[in-house]
Amino acid sequence: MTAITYLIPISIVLAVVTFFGFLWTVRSGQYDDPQGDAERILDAEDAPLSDHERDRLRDW
Amino acid sequence: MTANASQIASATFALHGVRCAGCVLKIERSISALPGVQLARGNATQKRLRLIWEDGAQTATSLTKAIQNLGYDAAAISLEGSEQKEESLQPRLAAAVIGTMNIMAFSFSVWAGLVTDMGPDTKHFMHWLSALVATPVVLYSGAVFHRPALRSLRAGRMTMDTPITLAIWITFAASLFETWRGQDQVYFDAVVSLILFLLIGRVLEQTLKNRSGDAAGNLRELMQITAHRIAADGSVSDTSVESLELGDRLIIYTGERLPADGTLLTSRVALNESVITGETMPRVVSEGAAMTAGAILVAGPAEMLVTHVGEDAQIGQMAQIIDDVTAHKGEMQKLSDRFAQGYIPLVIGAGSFGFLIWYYLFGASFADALMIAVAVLVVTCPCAAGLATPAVTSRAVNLLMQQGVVVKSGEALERLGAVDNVFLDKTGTASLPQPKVSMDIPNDVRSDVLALASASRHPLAQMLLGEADAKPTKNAVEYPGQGIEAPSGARLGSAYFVGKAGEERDHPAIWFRSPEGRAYEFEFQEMARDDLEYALKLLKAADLPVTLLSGDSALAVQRFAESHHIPHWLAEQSPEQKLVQVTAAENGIHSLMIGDGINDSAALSGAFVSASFAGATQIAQVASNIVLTQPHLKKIPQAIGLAQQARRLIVQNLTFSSIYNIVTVPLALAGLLSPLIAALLMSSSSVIVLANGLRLRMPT
Repeated sequence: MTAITYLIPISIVLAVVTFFGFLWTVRSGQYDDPQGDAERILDAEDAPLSDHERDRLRDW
Repeated sequence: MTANASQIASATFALHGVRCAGCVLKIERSISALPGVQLARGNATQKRLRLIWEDGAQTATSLTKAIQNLGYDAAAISLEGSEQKEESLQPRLAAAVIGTMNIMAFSFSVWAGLVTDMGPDTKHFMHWLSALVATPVVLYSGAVFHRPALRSLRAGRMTMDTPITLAIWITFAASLFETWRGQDQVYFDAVVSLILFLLIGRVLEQTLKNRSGDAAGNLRELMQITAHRIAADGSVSDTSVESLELGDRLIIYTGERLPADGTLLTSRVALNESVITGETMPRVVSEGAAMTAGAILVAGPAEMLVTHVGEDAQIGQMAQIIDDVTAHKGEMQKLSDRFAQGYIPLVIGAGSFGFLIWYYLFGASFADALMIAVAVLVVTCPCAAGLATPAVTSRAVNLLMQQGVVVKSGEALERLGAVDNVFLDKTGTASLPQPKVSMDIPNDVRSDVLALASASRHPLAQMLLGEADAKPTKNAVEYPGQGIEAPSGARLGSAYFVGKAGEERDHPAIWFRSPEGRAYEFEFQEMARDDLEYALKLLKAADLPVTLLSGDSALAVQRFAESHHIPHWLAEQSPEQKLVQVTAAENGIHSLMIGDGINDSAALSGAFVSASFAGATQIAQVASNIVLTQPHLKKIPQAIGLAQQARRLIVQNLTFSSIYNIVTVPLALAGLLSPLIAALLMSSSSVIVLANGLRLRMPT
């Protein structure tokens, strides 16, 4: 049973990391345009927005 | 639009006529290649384009033109104030998902421990762990429910959120209490999964609302008219319609809509008043004549003196009628609120009843009785019943949106499914807004005819020219009210003008006489929209009678109705008569009104349900429950088919959720369901209802 003494803290830490990871995906606008992103991935010349560009576009 | 000191401007454009995400990306690429454009980013989901550019190199107008040159329509939209986006529920949903997964892991080990050999201390430790995970989920994710519930409770009202909040907090508090006492009746898993499944419903609802909000916003902004005001010194400046005042002098260019009622200051122009009167042919007006807001200037430019603005203008009065009718319509929506008001005390009553009989009558322990009450609350949680309608409508509205049909409310969709009579406006709706020449111009005179037509400002000549590109005949002389003559002696004009007096027919027509004296007649005919036949066929197959409702002359309407085999038609209908037609029909039958004009707007708002399209007058779009992004009539019967399907599925869902409640509530009251089983049942009933909604398919 000693396994749970470190497995449980690991699972809690993973949960917290997952949550903040998800928050990051929301904040960086990855769910803003699902239809457009589905097409952009097929475009060889399309590059992701830089952080600077994203800030400039901020006020949608 | 915003501009700052460093001459950088930015704006968001609503894109129209884009059907796929690829089009948005194409626009984005072309526009970002323009000089002076610093950044262009399209959003295919919202159908918008955000642009940042150097103010000197480009203007909002030049960029709009650039987009239009690509074959799409665009309008700069202001997002300030008009749309306040709700807070995104995604992080809260994520917290619930992660919390549920972890608690499931812990409680599964507890369950497994019940049948194997987990020690009481380990089990107790697992309960504390679950409590540790559940607390942030309840406080953070659960806030979506308890915040509005508390707010409305403070206002003395109960909503659908009230029993959900009660169930969440009673279960949570009881579980904490039991954990603290070292007991086994712990239901943290039920609490978090309850929150999770309810949140999924909320997120779906929010996505849908944002999408239709975006679409409606895009449409609204495109319809805004600017007026060009002439100042005392003769300079022209653009101004919004709202800021117009009596006595303002305006200039209107060819193709623009009149922004206000007024009198004509210049001589002879032609107006297309079809949106106001239903009359197809342009009306030629002379200096001093009264002109109505909303009419389109076919041949101009014109200067006008504003006589009525806003509410006083004829359009404004029409809008007043609509407001009155819509206020009446709003009554229907209160019904569902009333349902909640009646249902929720029932749920809470059933829960308390369960607690009381078990605690006092059967002598159960406080904890047992409380858990039975919670099980009742959870199992009756109006989830399946609450989701029954949105699960289907959200998918239906989404499917329709993809097809270019914007349904403004779930209620409109339900009504569309119940339609049993269709009223169709003629001019601009069943037919194209502009009549077309009904025959080909003979090749030997073609170039002469087009050159003369190009030299003339008469609306019929302009229509004859149509899309064709011809150099205007030099030195042609125009005789107002008669026709135009080329130096060669060729004439284009009325029958009288070419020497064929007495041969006028009831058709609008233009005559041409070649220099040799041969005369040709070109008739104008109202052209039906391309898919009118197909739409009528589908409506007939669906057993929906169609009535043509028009303000145009009896002869024109009859001819149109007969050539398209529409058995019922009514001509020379005033806006008020149209309203009476569709509402009189409402006694017993459910009418769908389809129209585009200002003269249809009263009928549109008075009908059981109504449809219009982008490109129709703004007032018609506002008055309608459904707006087509393209004037494709065949979408209407398809949308009706989908709405009927949706109706059937909603009835199935409601039946299912009623049966579910009839079966489970007695079980829960009898103490046969633990809160966890209740939550599982409740969740699976929601999933079944949601899955049923996925069966919807767009009819072809």
